[in-house]
Amino acid sequence: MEGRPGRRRRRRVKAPTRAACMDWISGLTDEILHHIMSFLNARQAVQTCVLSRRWSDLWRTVPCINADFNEFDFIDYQGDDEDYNDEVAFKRFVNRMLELRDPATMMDKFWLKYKISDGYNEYKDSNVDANRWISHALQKQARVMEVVVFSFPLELDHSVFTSCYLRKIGFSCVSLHQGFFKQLDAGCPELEELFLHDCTIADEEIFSQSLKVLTIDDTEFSKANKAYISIPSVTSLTLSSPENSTPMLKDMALLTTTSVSVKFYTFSYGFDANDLRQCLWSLSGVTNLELNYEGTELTFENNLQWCPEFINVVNLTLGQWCLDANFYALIVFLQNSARLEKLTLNLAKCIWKKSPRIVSELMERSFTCEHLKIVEVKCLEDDPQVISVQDFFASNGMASVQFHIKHWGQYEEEDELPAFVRYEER
Amino acid sequence: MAAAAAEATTDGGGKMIILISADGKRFEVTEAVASQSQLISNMIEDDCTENGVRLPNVDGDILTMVVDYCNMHAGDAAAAGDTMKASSTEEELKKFDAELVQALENPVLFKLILAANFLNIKSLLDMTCQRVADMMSGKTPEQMRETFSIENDFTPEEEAAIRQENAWAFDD
Repeated sequence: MEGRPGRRRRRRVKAPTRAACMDWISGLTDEILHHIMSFLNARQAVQTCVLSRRWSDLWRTVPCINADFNEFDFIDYQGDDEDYNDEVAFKRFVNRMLELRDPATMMDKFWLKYKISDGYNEYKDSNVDANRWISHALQKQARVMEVVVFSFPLELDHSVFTSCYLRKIGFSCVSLHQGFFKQLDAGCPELEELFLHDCTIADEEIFSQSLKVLTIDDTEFSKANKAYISIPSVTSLTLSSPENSTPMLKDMALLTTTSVSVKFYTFSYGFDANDLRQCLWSLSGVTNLELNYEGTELTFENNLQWCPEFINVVNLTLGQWCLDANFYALIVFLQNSARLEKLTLNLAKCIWKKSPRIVSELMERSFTCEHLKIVEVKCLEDDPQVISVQDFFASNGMASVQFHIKHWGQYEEEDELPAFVRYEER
Repeated sequence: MAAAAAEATTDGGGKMIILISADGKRFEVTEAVASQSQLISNMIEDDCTENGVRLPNVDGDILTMVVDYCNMHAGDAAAAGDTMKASSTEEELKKFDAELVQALENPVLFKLILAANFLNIKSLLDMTCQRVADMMSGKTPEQMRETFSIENDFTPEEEAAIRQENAWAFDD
């Protein structure tokens, strides 16, 4: 850390001009300085208090708080248990900061990255602390709340979620008890975006009258095979790799307007062709659809109408699975997507061959997609399937389709952090 | 690309307006480009851009950067409905922004922040403020003072007292 600024100075040997040596930053208004400090983590924002008199109290009125336990990770205590002491330091920091902030200053965003370590007593205290901070942020009218927990999940006390300011929630590794969705629906009428990553949901009904964006990934639904989602206002829904069970989508088909985009990944066992059918039928009104299936083999009977007619789909994204059983699913989707303009195929990211996910045979293999202009194929370099895909379209009389071939990045791994951490607010 | 976007709006009947910097330089831009500034957008709505918009606290060289930025980003809103168009320009935009921001140093960076704030261009203000935060990030207070030429006007006793008072944030 010490070396970096030094090295930079050495590289720039230009004689500094007078203007460059002036203290421009301290001349900015409080409002702009707060804006800048909102991009810092909370510890550094507080530390600016020693810079000069101009800075001594600025941190007390910064509207965005970004409290990250990693900022205390390197603290070297003399104690036996290093983790324990990091956590104590971080907890003390957040407690003091919230206590000493200007009480009249509201909070716009509250970001918390927190580690809950094991040990029963400590675990309980950690939950109490985090829930108190969350409650404090809500009382200060936070609009955006993101809580990312590591190690043990946070047992959220949802009873404090009453706020007509809260617009966006992002939770990672948070355990949502029964009644969470009911509380949000009744208590947070302005809530529009909800991102849940690596959480557990105890509620059977996932419903809301205000949500526009809902993303649920790596999340466990505890009411196996009973959970359902009913959010008529949603315009973007992402469900990926749900554990245990796949929630059913209810009352969505009639209400989806034009811009619903759904990504649906499932790894769950016990999921069968009929489950896929139910899910797809509830999505038949969407315009953008992304669907991937990873899991046990699905057997489609010919009389099962598993794929509805997608009357609005313009952009369709399918995974490797759609090429199984001689392009079975791809053909069925193309036959049912008359308005399709762009098709994206996300082919395998690794070479080892997976067992096919589909067993079926198709009698009628022809399709017409008059509006299809672009087929984008994302694949490994030298993937022989690309040629098969191109041949497939050519042999179906669609030689004029433009192919865009993109290769998976060499180190394209799934990020460990939830997507909402990087999600930019518009 | 920026030129193409500008032409497209002109063809579509977009009116041109003149921006005049503090040192009298004139910039002709389309309403679509200029209205990324909330300040100018409000003026357009109130019909008071006829005789050019005087910006007495923005220098010509800074306004050049602002206009370049706005020209580059004018396609954003227009292309938002068209996913194919948007995706092809997204990378170019990112590259343009990254190069712009990397090149910024004291004092141009701060003049650009003041201009973005005055003109009320949120995305440019965010980007430039983020740049300043990145320059502060990971630095000790001493290193921050050095980076931004901040004069320490505390006496050593006062500074020690503040550190003591906020030891929970320093912990050293």
